[in-house]
Amino acid sequence: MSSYILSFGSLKVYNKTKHLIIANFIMALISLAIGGIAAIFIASGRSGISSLINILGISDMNYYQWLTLHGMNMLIFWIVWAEIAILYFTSSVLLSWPIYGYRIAWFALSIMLYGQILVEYSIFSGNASVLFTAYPPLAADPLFYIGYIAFLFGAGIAVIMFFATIYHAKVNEAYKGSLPLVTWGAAIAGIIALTVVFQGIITLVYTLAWRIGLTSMNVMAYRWFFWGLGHDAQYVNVVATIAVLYALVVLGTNLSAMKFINERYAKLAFALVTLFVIPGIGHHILVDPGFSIILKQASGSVGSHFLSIPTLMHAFALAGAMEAVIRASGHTSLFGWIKRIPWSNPAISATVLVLISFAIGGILAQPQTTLQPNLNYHNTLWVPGHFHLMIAGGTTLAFMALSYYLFPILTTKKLYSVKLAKIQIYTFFFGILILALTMTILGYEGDPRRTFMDPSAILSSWYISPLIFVGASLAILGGAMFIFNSIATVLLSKSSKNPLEGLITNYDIKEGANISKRGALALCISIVIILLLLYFFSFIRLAAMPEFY
Amino acid sequence: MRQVPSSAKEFDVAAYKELATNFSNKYNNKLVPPDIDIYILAQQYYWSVSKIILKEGVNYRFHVASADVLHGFSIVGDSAVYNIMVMPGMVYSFTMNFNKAGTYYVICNEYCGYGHGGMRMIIEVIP
Repeated sequence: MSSYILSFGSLKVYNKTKHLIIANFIMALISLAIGGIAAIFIASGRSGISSLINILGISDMNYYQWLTLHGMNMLIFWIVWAEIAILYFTSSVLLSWPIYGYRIAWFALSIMLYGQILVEYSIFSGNASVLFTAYPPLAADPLFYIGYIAFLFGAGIAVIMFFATIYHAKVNEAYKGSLPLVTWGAAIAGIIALTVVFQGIITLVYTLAWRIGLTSMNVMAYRWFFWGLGHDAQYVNVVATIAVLYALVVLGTNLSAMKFINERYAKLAFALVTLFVIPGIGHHILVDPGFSIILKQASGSVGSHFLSIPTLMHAFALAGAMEAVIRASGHTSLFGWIKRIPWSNPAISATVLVLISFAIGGILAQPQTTLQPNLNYHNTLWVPGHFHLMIAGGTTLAFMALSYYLFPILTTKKLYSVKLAKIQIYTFFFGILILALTMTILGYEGDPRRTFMDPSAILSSWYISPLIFVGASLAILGGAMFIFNSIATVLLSKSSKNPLEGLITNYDIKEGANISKRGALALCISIVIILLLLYFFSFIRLAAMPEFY
Repeated sequence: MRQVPSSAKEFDVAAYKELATNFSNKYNNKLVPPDIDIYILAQQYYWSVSKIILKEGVNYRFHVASADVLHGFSIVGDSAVYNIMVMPGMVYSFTMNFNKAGTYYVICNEYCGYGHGGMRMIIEVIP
């Protein structure tokens, strides 16, 4: 089997694996492009700028069609394709072992592609404007459910191939001892992904059976099981993102950060996530009639709050590794190392920005996952404000940054433009930040999510709505820069002996240097304090409102 | 008390529709006396009553149900934002006491189809 050794960390890349990873990533890019085009229409629709709405022809009839297209392509297609590429990378490339069941992996890709085409077709035909959640009794074209099921089925096969590859690498002694940290994190994401696929297929087969008249529909059952797909899939994203961040910190510092990451600690934090994921489903049904308060409290609130523990553990490990590298190379004050962060290194700047995005998004999540305050935030723009920080400013940005390293590693070609990559990270981040914070402010006042309407009669801060368009435009520009750079790298770049040139910062680690992580600890503690302040504030706000019970 | 309402029961659509229609016929655009239960039915794409007038500081009992798909019952005003789900087959009941006079809007905040953005009801709270 043809393969080549990379100079970088002596990783072995098999040609067959390379083609498979690139094919999956190209599908991810196509999905991101479709979702990005849809985003132009949604952001314009919510901007309140009537001339823009008129020019783009946005109406009650097509707004929700664009929204369905955006949700499916971003939350499902882009993320899942990219995650599968990452799973193959972390199993095959990081373990220097070829993908097991190579043909089956291509079969999985074709099933997913088939499913995606059916879903896109049904949305474009206008018969599936049911949004990403597809809550019955709203009904879509049966092709929509069939496509959704096929896509998840294919993704499930791909995840199984990932585990099979790890198993074969292990029995053939491709690696010694425990799994490398990044592969371990990806494996935790893989375990959660299998539960997601399983719950998703159950939900959608049931819905398809109802749609073609074979059974009746229990809306409560749907909502519970759907969130087994919709919510847990976000934890696949969070875990995969964190695994990617570890990879980025290590890659960006030319492996220097590796010795400052406590592997056991990080692995434990990964494993803890799996414990709290399933109970977390309940925060989606906090204001539904029919479910008991105790189930809502136990599942929605407590389960979700516990998820902050492993997430904060990782935040400390990642920021601490960065701090230790910079301190060990000669900078010692409590926060002085922050100034020395290599802000123009895409891996490192992305890691820092993703952590900031996760911190703000995670803090905003607390009121809406708590039984009582959630009454004020449920289904308002606060919710997409939160999850754009998590999924776009977090997961998507991390995947974008990883691809700047992944393509050169896989193809031995230099990145088409390192400069563009550096600018792109900031363009995308600030776009999402403006977008998400605007949504959060509007949501605080009660602006409903997933609603095409003129809010000027209802909200006092409606005039900031155009910022939705400003933020989205920047983010979409960032997305376009990323897609262009990725494709240009594959098609136009030349091979190089040092493909990661310009993407790495070298550190001169001094023996016996001060490697304290106090600064990172202080940052994590301040995040917890802000989180608690917002948490208490949300109860104070509630107490000033009319009685409601 | 400010708590997620726990009172929800299954209902017969036809019977509930009659309650909601009777309520709307009697009190649409009128002051609702404190001892009268408020019955609201959500349907694609309107609320069964378009405007009610309530007294500040009085406990009112609301009942909300859906005749077709999922809807969201969202009260939005200067001093209040409350959101609950309206589910087909379930009537959700809650008590609310407006502590400030003013105009409040009831909007649908769970996507229910093309006309979703136009669902609007007004609650006028008078001192």
